[in-house]
Amino acid sequence: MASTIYRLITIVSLLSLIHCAYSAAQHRFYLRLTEQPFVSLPADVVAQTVISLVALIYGTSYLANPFQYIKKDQHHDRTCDEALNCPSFITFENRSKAMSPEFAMLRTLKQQQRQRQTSSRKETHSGRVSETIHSSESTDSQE
Amino acid sequence: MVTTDWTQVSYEEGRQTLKKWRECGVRRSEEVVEIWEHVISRSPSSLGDEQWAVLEQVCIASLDAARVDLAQECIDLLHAQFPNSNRVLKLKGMQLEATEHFQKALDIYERLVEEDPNNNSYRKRKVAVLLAQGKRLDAIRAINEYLKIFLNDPEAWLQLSELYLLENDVPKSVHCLEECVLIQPLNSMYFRRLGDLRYTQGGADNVELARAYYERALKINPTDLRSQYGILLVRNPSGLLLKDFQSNNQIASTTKSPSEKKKAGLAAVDAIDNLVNRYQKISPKSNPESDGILNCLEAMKVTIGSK
Amino acid sequence: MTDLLLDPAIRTWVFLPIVVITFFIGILRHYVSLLLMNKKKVELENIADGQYLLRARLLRENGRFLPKTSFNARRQYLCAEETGYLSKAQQRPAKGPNPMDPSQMTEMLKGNMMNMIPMIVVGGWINWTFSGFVTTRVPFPLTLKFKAMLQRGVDLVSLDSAWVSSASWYFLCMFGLRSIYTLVLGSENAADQSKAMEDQMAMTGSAVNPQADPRAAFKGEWEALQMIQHQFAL
Repeated sequence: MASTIYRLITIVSLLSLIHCAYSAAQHRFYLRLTEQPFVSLPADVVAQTVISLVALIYGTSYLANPFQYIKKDQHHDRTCDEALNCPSFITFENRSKAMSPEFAMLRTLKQQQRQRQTSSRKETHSGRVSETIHSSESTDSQE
Repeated sequence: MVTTDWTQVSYEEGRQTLKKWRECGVRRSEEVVEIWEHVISRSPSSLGDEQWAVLEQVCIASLDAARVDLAQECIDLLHAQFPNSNRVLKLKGMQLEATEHFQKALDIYERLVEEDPNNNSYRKRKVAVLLAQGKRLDAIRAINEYLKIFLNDPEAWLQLSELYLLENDVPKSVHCLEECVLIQPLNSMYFRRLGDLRYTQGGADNVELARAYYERALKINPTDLRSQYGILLVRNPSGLLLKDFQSNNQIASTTKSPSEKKKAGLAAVDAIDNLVNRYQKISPKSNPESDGILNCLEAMKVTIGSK
Repeated sequence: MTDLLLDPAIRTWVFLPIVVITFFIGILRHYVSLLLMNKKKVELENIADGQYLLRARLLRENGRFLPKTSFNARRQYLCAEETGYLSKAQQRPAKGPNPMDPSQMTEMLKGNMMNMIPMIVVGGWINWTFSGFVTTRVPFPLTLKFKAMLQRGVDLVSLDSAWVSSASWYFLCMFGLRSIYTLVLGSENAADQSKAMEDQMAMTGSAVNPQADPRAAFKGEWEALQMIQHQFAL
């Protein structure tokens, strides 16, 4: 979030630099027309160039993002949890399932399914055996 | 612990936080769901193009927080916008994983891998299915296969190193972390972890390596407390390493000359000074143990300094 | 040094239009090639190759953070005589550009067409339109050898080498604007004539060009790894 003053400084210094370039070109053109050898640019053009360059650097350094270290550790402000986390390998087997009502429903459904499977398998045995097994399993599942 | 009430933050703040968490890969699922429900979902369209990425983030977070209804909503919205997208299909696979339909999820991922063999995230999800089922050895094998192709994936190496640690195989875990170091040498976490693991392995060479790693971690990240503690551990000048406790009741000290011991002692005292400085800056409210810790550290300084 | 004075009209009507034309033709070429060329289908083996090359380079650069044994073990894995990956990869049969393979040939042909034909056509048109005068001057003095390069179409023996004719100015622009294309179109642009052969990012699985380079690249990495002396930097 650059404030307008720095933006203003940058724009003004950019325009000033362009103006310096133009006036330098014009100066050389004038010298060529009047057939004088080119020695150096007039002092005011040089001064304007230097000042606008400094102002440009100053303004841009505020407009650009804050300075970064040369060799930056991107994790220097992160906890172990964040830095050693592997989000592509995330698994959803955690306690939240135990606390959620939908998963409780899912669990009971699965248990009922399993009960039905085992009871249908045990129907091949004698009736009494299957009854006792069925009753013991239902007491197990109620725990 | 500073806890923010995420239901009361402003829209812009919520959006910035979600973005930060998305970019850093942070796993704070319940908070993401809270922010989404109370703050952002009021006007999701004002997120503009960001809303699809946010929806994906919220979907994964809601699966993690066992909010199947919210996950279904997000997937429906994404599907309506991107009907033939592989990424949405991957989210559907994750939803099946969360509801424990592992075989169906595996089928989806295999289809995705066939369609787009260069995309590594589908293979990683296959490994995650194995992990969710608790088949650690299979998962280790699967990650090794994956790493034969996609060699430079620090996340996979990190995950493999965790898995080896769960199997109590420290040398292999060290190998994996060293791979991570090769890929990202400026990450102080890897060096710290390597220091921990080398110190765990024990033996004079490994402890020296641990020292080197801790110092490097400290150099990269001067604010790291754990590396300071690590240096304290390894620069113990009396050379008391319980691991070298011999069976005939001799405590084998590492063979250090007196000058080395003095150097080690100074380094340890330095580390303690740094720690003391850090703890003094923390107010007792944020860390109620800081007084006790300061006392301990002062005592340690006295004992080490006197040796 | 004789100072020729050029008509300012040349600057307005020749110099700048050539730059503008070159720039827009480059962008046009990029979009047309996007339409015409199908996406490079990358083989898994090529991905693995690219990754191994990258890993060899990383080992060279960052190997000083590993203890000697680890470094040597890794170097052994990559460079060993019979079993190292790089050695094995060098033994693979060379797959040069195969002119018999129809699909590869059409790809090559399309690529060449896309690059050569616009260059020749536009170059010729510019030579025809803007002939008869010098366009600009390079600001530094040059030897006579550069005359042939810079003064295409102008046959004056006594003209100083620094002066550039319009056709040569077109070619100069075309090569010079490459970096501007990278800025404007992002990297991966088809207007850039000389794409880098090397592998860039690990994740996206960009592959080594299957036609020419793998064996040379492997050999280079193998030699570099053999030469390196390990110094534990910590």
